[in-house]
Amino acid sequence: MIDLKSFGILGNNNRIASYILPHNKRSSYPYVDDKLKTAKLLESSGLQSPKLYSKIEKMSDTKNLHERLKGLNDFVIKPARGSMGNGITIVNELKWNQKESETHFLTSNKKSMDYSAFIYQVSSILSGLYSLNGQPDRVLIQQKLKVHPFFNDLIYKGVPDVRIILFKGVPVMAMLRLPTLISRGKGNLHQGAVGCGVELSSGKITKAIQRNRFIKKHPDTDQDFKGLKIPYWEESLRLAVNSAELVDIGYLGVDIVIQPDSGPIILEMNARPGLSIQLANQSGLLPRLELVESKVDELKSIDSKINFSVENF
Amino acid sequence: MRQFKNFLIFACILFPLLALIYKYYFLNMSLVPKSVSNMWKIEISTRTDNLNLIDLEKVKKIKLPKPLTTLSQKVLNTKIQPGKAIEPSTSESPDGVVTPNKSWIKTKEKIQLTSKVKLNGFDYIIPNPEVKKIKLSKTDFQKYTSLEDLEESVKQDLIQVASSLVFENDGAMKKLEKFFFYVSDEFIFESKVDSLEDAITIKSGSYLGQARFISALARVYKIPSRISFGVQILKQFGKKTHKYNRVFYSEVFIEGKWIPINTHDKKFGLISDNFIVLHQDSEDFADIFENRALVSIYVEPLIYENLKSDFYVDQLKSQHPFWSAVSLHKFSLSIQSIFFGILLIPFGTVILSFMRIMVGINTFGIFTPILLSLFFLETSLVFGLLFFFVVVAIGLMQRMLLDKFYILAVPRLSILLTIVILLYIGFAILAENSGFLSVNNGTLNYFPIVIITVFIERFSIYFIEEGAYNTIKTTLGTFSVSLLCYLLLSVVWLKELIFNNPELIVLAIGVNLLIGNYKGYRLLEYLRFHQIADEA
Repeated sequence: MIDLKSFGILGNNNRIASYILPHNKRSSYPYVDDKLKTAKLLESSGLQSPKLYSKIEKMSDTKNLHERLKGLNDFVIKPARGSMGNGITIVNELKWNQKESETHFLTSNKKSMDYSAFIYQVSSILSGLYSLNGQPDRVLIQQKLKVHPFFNDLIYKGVPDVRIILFKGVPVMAMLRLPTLISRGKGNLHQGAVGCGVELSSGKITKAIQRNRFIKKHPDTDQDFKGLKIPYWEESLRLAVNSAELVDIGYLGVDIVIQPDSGPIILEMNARPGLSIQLANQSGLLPRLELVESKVDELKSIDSKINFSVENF
Repeated sequence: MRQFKNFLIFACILFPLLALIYKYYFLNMSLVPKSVSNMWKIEISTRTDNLNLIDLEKVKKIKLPKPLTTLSQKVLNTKIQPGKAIEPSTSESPDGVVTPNKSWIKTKEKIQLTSKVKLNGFDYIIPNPEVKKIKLSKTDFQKYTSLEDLEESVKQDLIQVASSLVFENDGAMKKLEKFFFYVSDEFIFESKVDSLEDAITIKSGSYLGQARFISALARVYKIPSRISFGVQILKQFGKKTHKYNRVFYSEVFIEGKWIPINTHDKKFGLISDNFIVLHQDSEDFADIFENRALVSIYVEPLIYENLKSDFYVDQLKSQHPFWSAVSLHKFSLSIQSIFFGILLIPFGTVILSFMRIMVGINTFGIFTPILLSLFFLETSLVFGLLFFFVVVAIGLMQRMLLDKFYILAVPRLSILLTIVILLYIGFAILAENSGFLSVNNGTLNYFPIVIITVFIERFSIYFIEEGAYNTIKTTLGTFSVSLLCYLLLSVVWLKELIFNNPELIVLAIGVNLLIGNYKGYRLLEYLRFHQIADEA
């Protein structure tokens, strides 16, 4: 049995007992667990985030929903309290018609959905089908994100994002998540997405894993990972550090999507980021977290935090 | 704060243990009521469809022993099924056997005789006014002392052995003791050696052979003797079916009573409280009773019916009024059985915490595994598992179907609940008719229905979203934890220990605190992260 401690691996028990419970303030959780609250928080702070076209808080909100959809072309339907990308429907094209029965939605899995199926999806979300603990939920209709050309050879479908883990506002580790054929377009590592370790100083991809195994090439596109460098890297780090200032969550995961025109944009935040990031980077979180803990009092400004992580990680 | 936490862990673990030690060593209290469950169900059955040709010869002679009330046991009731397969007169026959009728032999149906027997053991040597003296009639005396069936040479050998073992002027009891010690010390047990001749010549034999030998020796000195039959239960804690030995033993008639001589557990004049007497005067039926293919016997303890041990409670009241006041034995039997059922749940949570925190096994929901194990206990493991798998399969199918109809969530769940109830009824009917899906105590309860429904809803969402691989992994995790909990919850002596010493439950808090304090790696994390050491 290998000595995980010598690799600095942070285990699940320690993650919860030493980082999440003491450093993440329970009252701040709604701002990251509830995507509607996250969207409002980010909007008011002026940080880049997907545009919120419309929201549905209760079933009666769907009465004039058909009218509200008029003029939209593509968008995403999301549960506010969903997890791991569950319950999300991506609409690539809306064929809007004055008659509800003639309105059609072309979704990302090349299916055509009629209006009643759309309403069913909305009501499923409202009833709490996808929410973290089955509570009644709300629906966001949000801007559909695009894929930066850099990723064209790195994905088969879906949207890649960068997960950055920050401790006390300092980025400590980052991972690029690439949806694959077997993950069915989702970015979750345990569903088969590829996770790439990223050098914080440069945005270079260092390692890649799929299903806990190291790989050299992308499984779907055969693209070699060697030497690839994520665009808008410095801006991404800055965005992550800025967003961490908004919430009282010491151990935070920030998911960033790079847009072709506007650069990095915050997709969501997570108060319980997972541990696979360590495998993707082939490096443990513990020494980095301990280093930040010992030096954090000296790091007051946003720039000093970014510099610290660029220099050390 | 940290010190307080450590103190709390320490206290939670130490307090119940100290209380136990105090009660056991200083107050001399017994930790569980002694002989809490000396009530047994015994099933004696026969069926002819699996017999070979040689045995078929004997089928016509089949008799089933019918347990009888003696000084060492009380038969509470006996049921014979099916009634139409036996000779009407034989269920009350004086020779204590039940005879199948001729038409049954063709039908090959199973005949089963079920008795509830309460055992107390009895010492026949100690003078006891309860034992009424009886008189043997002249013909009986003749019958029980006769050696006429023996060949002359065997008879001569027997007399020779007998006279070498005892003096002519020894009393009857003295002679019998000497025979008993001779067999106990010198004989080698040989399971197939039943005959008197072998016993005399090679000094070995089965229980039947040994019993025949002692009986014959007694008859040499005109002491009436006979052979009787019973089962010796081998006590096993926590098991439902118990192992037993088929035992023949001899009985001798001295001073107006039949005294047992058991060579199997080396007891002279004593029937132990783990012995069920099935038949007396069994020489004529010995070959049949001995044959496992013809007569099968199954022994099971009846624990719940004797949960309340009045003797224990009275003793407690007189000696330790404080402990008697806080004892769970105070309650009525129905309340007691509820406590009996829930007492081990805190220890189930310990297993759950351990498996999740130390091992790292994922489960659906947090307490689902414990609820599932309660469901298995409530029904039975086979019933529970089978029901569970069928319901999950059907639940998944209905969800996939109803998803296509765009049925809203609450009505959909209501339909699921209805289907679960329908299946529950179907399964109960199946269980009642087939017998292989036996339900514990023949009772069913409401609450498994809700457990199952909630589980399916979680399961089907998980299945659709996480895919088959992760769902199977998590299902197996849930199952392994609930099976472990089930095993723990079915350990009867542990339940009895906690029932009598409920303060032990505090231990569960202590251990949970201890586990909750563990920040090290989970066992499965070594598997998950082992790649990190590979390749640089």
